[in-house]
Amino acid sequence: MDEKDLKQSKKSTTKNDIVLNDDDDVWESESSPDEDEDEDDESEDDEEVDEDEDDEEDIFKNDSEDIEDEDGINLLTTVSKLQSSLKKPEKERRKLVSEATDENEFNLPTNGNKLSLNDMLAAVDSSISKDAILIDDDSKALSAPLPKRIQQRHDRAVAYEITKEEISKWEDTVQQNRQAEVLKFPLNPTVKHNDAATTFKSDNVPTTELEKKINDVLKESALIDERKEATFEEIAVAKLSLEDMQKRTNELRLMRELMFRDEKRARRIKKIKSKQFHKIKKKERLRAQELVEGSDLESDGEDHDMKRAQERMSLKHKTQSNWAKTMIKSGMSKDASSRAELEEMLRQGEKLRSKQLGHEEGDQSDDDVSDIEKEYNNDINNDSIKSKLGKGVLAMDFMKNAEERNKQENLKQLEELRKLEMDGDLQAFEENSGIVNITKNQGRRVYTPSSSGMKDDITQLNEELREEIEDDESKNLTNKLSKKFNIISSTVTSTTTNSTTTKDTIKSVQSEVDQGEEINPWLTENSEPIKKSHKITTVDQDSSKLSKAAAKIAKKASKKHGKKTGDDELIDIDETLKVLTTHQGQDSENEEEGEGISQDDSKMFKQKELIKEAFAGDDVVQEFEIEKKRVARDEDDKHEDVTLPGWGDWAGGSKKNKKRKVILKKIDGVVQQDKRKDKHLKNVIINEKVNKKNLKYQSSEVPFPFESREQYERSLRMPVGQEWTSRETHQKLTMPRIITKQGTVIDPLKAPF
Amino acid sequence: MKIKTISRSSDQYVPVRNTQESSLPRNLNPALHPFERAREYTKALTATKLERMFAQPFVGQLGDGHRDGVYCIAKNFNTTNQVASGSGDGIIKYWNMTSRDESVTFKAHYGMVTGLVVTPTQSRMLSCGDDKYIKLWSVNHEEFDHTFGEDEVYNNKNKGLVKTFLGEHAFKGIDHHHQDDVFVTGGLSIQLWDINRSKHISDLSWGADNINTVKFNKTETNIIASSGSDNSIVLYDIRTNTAIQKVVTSLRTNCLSWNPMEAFNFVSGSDDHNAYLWDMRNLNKSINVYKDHVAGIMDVDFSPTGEELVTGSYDKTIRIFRTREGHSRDIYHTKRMQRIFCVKYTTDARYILSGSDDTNIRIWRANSSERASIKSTRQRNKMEYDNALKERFKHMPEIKRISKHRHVPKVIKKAEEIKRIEINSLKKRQENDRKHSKQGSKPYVPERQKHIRGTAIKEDN
Repeated sequence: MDEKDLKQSKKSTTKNDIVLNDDDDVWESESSPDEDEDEDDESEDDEEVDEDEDDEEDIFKNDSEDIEDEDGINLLTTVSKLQSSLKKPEKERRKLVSEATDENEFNLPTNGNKLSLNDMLAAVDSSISKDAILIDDDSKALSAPLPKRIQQRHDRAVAYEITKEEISKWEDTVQQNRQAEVLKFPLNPTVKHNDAATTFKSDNVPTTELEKKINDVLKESALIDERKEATFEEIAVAKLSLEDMQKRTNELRLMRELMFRDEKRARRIKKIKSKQFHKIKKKERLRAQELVEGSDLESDGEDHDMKRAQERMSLKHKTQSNWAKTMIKSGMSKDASSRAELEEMLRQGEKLRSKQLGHEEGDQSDDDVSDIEKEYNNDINNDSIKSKLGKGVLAMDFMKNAEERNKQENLKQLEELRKLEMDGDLQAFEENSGIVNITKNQGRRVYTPSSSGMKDDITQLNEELREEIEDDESKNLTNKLSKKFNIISSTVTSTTTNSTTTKDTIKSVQSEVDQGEEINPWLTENSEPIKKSHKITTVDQDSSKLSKAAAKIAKKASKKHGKKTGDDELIDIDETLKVLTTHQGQDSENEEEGEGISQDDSKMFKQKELIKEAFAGDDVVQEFEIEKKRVARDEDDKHEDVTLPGWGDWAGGSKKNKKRKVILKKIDGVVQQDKRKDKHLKNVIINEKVNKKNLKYQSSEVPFPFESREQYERSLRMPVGQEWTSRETHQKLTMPRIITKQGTVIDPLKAPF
Repeated sequence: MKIKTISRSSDQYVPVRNTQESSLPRNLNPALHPFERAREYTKALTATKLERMFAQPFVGQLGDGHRDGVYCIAKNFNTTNQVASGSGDGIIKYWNMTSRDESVTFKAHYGMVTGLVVTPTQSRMLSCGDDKYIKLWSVNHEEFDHTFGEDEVYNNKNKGLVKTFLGEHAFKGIDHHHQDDVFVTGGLSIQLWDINRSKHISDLSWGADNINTVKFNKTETNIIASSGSDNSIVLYDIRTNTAIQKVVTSLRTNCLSWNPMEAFNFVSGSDDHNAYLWDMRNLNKSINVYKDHVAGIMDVDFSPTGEELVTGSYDKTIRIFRTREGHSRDIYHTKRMQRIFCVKYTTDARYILSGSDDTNIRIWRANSSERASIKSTRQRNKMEYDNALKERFKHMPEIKRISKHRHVPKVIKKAEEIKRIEINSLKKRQENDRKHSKQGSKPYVPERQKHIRGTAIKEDN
C-alpha cells in the first residue's frame, strides 16, 4: 500500500543509523539469523520484515562505514574483519548447499568452526560482544502505529498532493485555450467523410416485368450500350491536355456567365414599366435591324417583302391612321414623345415613298443642297400645318420667336452651304458659327467657363486653320498677290490648280512675308483685338470642381496654341526678374545698414528704445495679469443676495430698527479661486471649464485591462470597418472569440488517451 | 447632364464562381473615408441600441411543467435537446426540447426527488429521493409500455424502472461518472456506487454532517466535489478512495459546478448571495467572486464553453456571468417566476433552462438578442462587425450606460439598495475599528478570502 511505502521511506534513514550504531561486528549478527528470527517473530511481524530488509542493505554499506566509525582499532583486526565480511556469505552459501544432515534446531550449521559457549553467549551478553542485540539496554521499542484519524489525515495530504500533480497536467492546455484568439467549439470535431459517392452504386438491374421486357428489347436491338455511354465523355476529355481543359472550362464558364447575365438583364428590362423606355428600346432595335438590313442590301427579298407588307398593313407611315388623326386633332402632338412618334411615322413614309421613286436608302446623307432646300420648303409647309394645330406652347410668342430665329439660322446655313458648293471649302472657316458650336438659343446666357472657353478656343482654332490654309495657298503666286492686297477672295478656291513650276519664286516671297511677320510678334499680337483676358488661376484641393475643370480646359487651350502663351510667360518672367533685381538691390542696402548697427553699440540702445517707444502703449504683462484675475473671479463661486426687502417685517408705522438678516445664495462656479490649477503658475491661464458635449465621447478613466491612456488610445486607433482595412484584416479583426456550432454538443475537455 | 463615372464592366472578366456576385470595387483612399473613429463610434452606439431592442431572452416553457416545484434538472450530455427534471412530488420527467414536450413521466419517489442524473452511456435516468431509494429508469419507449395517461402516473410506478438501489439514509444529490458505470450520492454520507451492484462500493465521508451536492469532474473524471451542511466544500479522489481537501466557508454552499474546459476550476454558489470560483489546487482563496444577487444562489452551471456561468437564485432571478468578470452580464426574470432551484445550460451553450418553485421549466436564450435562424453571410458579417465595434467602444460612457441598462423588478432594486447600504456601513465600521486599534492588528482581508474560514490541509500560500 501507498501509506506503508511512504512510512518506510520516511523511517528508513533513521533506522539505518540505529543499526549501524548497534552492530559492530556484522558477520556475527549474520551468522545467527535464526535465533534472531525466533525472537522477532513473537514481537512484531511488520518490524521483522523491515529489519530484514535493512540488514540486507547494511551488508553493502558496512565495510566503508565501519572503518570510519572505529579508527582506534588496529589494522590487523580490521583487515581480518573485512576479509571475513567479504568472503563469508559465499562460503556460507556453499556450505548450506552441501550440508547432508537434517536441519533442525539441534543440528545447526557451524561454518566449520566448533561452537563454544562464548559464541553462544555473545548474542546475549553485551559484555562479551558489542553486537549483542537481544539484551541491549540501548535498544528502543518500536513506536505504536498512529491513530486512525491521524493516519487518514496523512493519507489525505499525500493523496491531495498526487491529485494536484495529476490535475496540473491540464495547465498548459487551459492556458493555451485562454490565450487563443479564436476558440471554435467543438474543439476536436470528428471529421465525417462523406463516402456516399464512393459507395453509391446505381442499381440498373431491372426489377419489374415491364422493365425487364423493355430492357430485353433494347438489348436485342442493340440500342443500349453502357460502355458507349460511359466512355464518350471520357474520350472527349482524355484527348485534351490540362491547359486545354482549363481553357475549355473557362470558355464554357464565360459563355454560361454571359448567358446568365443576358437573361438577368432581359428580366430586368422586362420589369421596367416605363412606356417611353420601351419605345426608345424598340426604336433602337429597329434601327439596328435596319443597319443590318442595309449591310445585307436586301439580300433576302422575301423577308423584305413581308416587312413591307406589314408596314402597309399597319399604316405606320401615314398620318391617316386613327391614332395619328386623334393625336393631331387633340393637339397631343405637342407632347414630345407622341410627336416623336408622329415624326417617326412620317419619316418612315418618306422613306417608303423614296423607295417607290427608286431612290436607295443611303442616298440621303449625300444630298445636294437643293435637296436640303427642298426639305426645308417641306418644313415650311409643315409649319403651316403646325400653326393650325393649336394654341399650346408652340403658339406662344417666345416659341414663335425661337422658331423664327431657327429659321433665320437655317437660311443662313443654307446660304453658306450653297456658297461652299460654289466656291470651295475656305469660306467654311470664316465664321465660327459654321462648325460645332452653334448657339441654339441666343436668349440663354452661358456661365460655365468651359463652354465660353471652348467657344473662344474654337474661334482661335478656326483662325489658325484659316491662316494655315492661306499660307498654303499663298504658295501660289496668284494667292500671294491677292494676300498682299489683303483680299481673301472667293476666287482663291476656284484657282486651286497647283503651280509647282513657280515654287522657287514663291519661296523668296514667302520668306519675305514670314520675316515681315516675325519682325515683331508683339505688334501683331497687339494689332489683333484681345478677345479674352488671361487670368491667373490657382487650383488647389479646396477649390471647387468647377474651377478645376476650368483650369483644365485652360491648360488644354494653352497647349493648343502654346506659342502665344509661351510668349506671355516670357514677359512675365522678365518682369518678375526685374522686380527681383530691384529687391536684391534693396536687400543689399539693408545688409549694409545692419553691419553699420552692429558696429556701433550706442545705436543698439537706440534700437531698444525705439522698440520701447514703438510698444509704449500696450503693457502686455499687466494686461495678462488683469485678465487672469478676471478669469479667476468669473469662474469662482458666487454669492447672491436673495433677501426680500420687507419680508418678515410687520407692516405699519411701528418700525423697529432690527438687524436685517442677509440671505445669501451660493452659485457654484467652475472652480474656486484658491483651488485653481494655475494659481501658482506664472504666465499661464488654465481653462478649467468642462465641455459637457465632449464628455459624451470621453472615457472617464482608463478602463480595466489597459494600463495607460496611451495604450487605450492605441487600441482604438485602427479602424475595423471595411472602408478602412483590407477584407482579410477586417475579417480577422471582427472574428468572434468563441464560435459555437448550432445544434452540436460541446463536450467537456477530454484527455487524449 | 451626363455624369461620367469610373466603371468596370463585369463583362470583361470571368468571376471565380458564377454564383458569386460581382463585388463592388472599393476605394481605400483614406481621404475618401474621413472621420473613421466618429463613424465607428456611431455604428457601435447604434449596434448597442439595437442589441437592447432585440433582447428577448425568454423562449418558452417545457410542456405544462410539473405539478410541484421543480427542484432538479439533469441534462443528457449526448444530445442537445433532451433533459430530465424532477419535482417536489416525486415525479420525474424526460423532455424533448425540440417539441417542448415530455417523452416519459414516472412517479419515482415518495416525497421529494432530491437528485437526478442522466447516465452518459445508455441515457437512462438515475434518480434519488428522500425515501432512501435510488432508481434507474429507462427513457426508451420500446422498453416498456408507455400508454398510460398522466393520472395513472401516480399508480404505475414500476413501468420503465430498470433497477432499484436501497440505501441506509435519505439521499441528497447524485452524480454519475462521466465515463465509467459509477455514481456517487450525497446525504448523511457520501457513497460511491457501481451501477451493476446493489450495495455501495465505498464510503468517502469526512466529517459527520449532511452532504447536499455532489459533482463529478467532467475532465479529470475521478475527482468529486461535494458541499455539505457544515458550510464545507470537500474534494475526493476515487482513485485513492479518500477525501483529499476540505475548505470551510462562512455560509453554506448550495451548489457546485466544474468548469468543463478547465479541469481544476469549479464554481460554488453560496448562501451569502455570491458565487465563487475556486482552483482546487489552492483552496485558501477563491479566484473570482461573482456578485450581484440579492439572495442565496440555489444553483449554478458552467456553460459548456467554460466562458460563462449561469446562476439561479432565491431572489427569483437568473444571472449570467462571464467567467473572468465579477458582475453579471445579464439578468433574466419574469413576473411569474418564483424562487429558482435549478438552472442548466444546454449542451450547445445556446439556451438556459431554469426550474423554479412555480412548477415550470423555462427556456431562455443564453444571449438575449441572438436569434437561432440561419443567417446569410452578409448578415453574419454585419453582426460580427457590430460585435467587434461594441467590444471596442464598450468603455465609452453612453455605450456603457445603454448596454448595462436593465429593467429589474422593484423588489430586487430595493434589496440591492439596502444591501449596498449595509455593506457600506459594515465597511465603515471596520475602517473605524482599524483606525482605532493597533496598527497591523486588523489587517485587510481580500474579498476573495473573506468568506473562507479555513482549509483542512494547510498550505503556505
